[in-house]
Amino acid sequence: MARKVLILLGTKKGTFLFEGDEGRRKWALKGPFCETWPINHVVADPATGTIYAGGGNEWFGPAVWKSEDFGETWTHSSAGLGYAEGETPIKAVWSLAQGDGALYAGVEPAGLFRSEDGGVNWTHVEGLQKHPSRPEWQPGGGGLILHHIVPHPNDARQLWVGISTGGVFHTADGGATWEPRNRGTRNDYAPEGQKYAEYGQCVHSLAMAAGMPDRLYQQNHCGMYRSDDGGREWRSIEAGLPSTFGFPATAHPRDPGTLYLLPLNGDVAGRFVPDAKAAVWRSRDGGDTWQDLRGGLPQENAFFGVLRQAMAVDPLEPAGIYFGTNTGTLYASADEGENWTCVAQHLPPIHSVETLVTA
Amino acid sequence: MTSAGSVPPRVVVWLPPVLVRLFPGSRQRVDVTATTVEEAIDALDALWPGMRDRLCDSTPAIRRHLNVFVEAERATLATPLAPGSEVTVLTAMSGGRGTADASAKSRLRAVDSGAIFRCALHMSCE
Repeated sequence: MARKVLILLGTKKGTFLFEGDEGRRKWALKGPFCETWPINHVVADPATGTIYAGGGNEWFGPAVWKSEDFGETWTHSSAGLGYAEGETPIKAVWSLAQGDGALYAGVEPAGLFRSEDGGVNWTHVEGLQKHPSRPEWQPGGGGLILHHIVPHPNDARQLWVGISTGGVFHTADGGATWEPRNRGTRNDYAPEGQKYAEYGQCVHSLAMAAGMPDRLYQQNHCGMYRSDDGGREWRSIEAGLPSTFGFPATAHPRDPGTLYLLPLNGDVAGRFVPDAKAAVWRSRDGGDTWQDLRGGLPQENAFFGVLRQAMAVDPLEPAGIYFGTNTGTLYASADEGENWTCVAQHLPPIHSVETLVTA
Repeated sequence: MTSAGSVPPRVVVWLPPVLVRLFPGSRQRVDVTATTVEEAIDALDALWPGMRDRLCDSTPAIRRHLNVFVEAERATLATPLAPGSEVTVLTAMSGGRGTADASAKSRLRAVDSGAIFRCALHMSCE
């Protein structure tokens, strides 16, 4: 049976799915789902096709929605998805990831939860909040959010998370204890002498290189970085890029040296694509050199940004790459970024993009 | 509180349609047995598991952008209920991103103007 390719969107007003075939030329829209709740992240289990959508509604609080029939029907749960009595309640789910047979959820205020029954019941991974730095974590523009979860592919005890603003943290014991991994990442908003602190940086995106779990890429509020030792040391890879600011970082599905970024014009200049011309920037050598990819993307009057989780690849050959804008437009490339087409316009602001290729 | 041996009061709970849509099989009018608002919400949760999480946060308290009224007075989880009490759950305009739940609002037949004003204070349309 022909495989289906799905683009999964979390938006300010619900979950949307785009369904196509392996040619990735024509897409059919399904949605909006999840009762038009603000949805921050939508992921899918490639083995089962189960789709999970995490978000939060101002009236009804946080929840993880679930569909086992490609969006036809949905359930929702937040059982256990709460802090202890008296603590600031959870406002929304911001990130989801599968690892070692479990489903993880990152939430606002920043914390991590784990489900072992497919998102029905949740357990707080308390060790992260017990880190001594916790009282000093500060909300970024989107709140105090845990927005990236990167499980180790071969070691169930290891996991990295990205917190705005707390920085990158790593556990090697299944979440019991955590250590900050931010050495070499800059905080331009700290006083002189404190710009390279142990924690407190505003990480925007965290991506693992294919087949190289120790190689991580990071888009930060202040620069782009690469680590070859699991985040213990980071070095800047921003030379050759049009700015040091952006949100998403997306690794190639097979080539550990290939990374995609979408730099914006700066945090106080509108957070638009530079010069109002859209480009995805690709490195084939781990961030040493960069190439701008503009084919088919608007090259005038483009005043949009792309948020933290709103760029993704698919696992096909050649790899497809997708990004959604905060103005509700979805772009896709079926040839690793060389040529782009506009899949949809006039959607709600797009918070996240992920893909699913059915078995 | 209910004295020993007495029958716990039956009360009527009115739910907003936007909440009913989240729980297949639920309905806007629900008759439950409860002596406080919290007991009424727990009774709803027994009927439709997960409904308490939609109405209450972990503080625990009624969610910030929901308003619960008992006989047109704004209530908390601890507010006592008498036999025949009417408990009305309303979504605040502040949580609706500009989409007021007009049909739910019409369920509240005797809200005082002060309560409406307090709802309006939350408004932050986008």
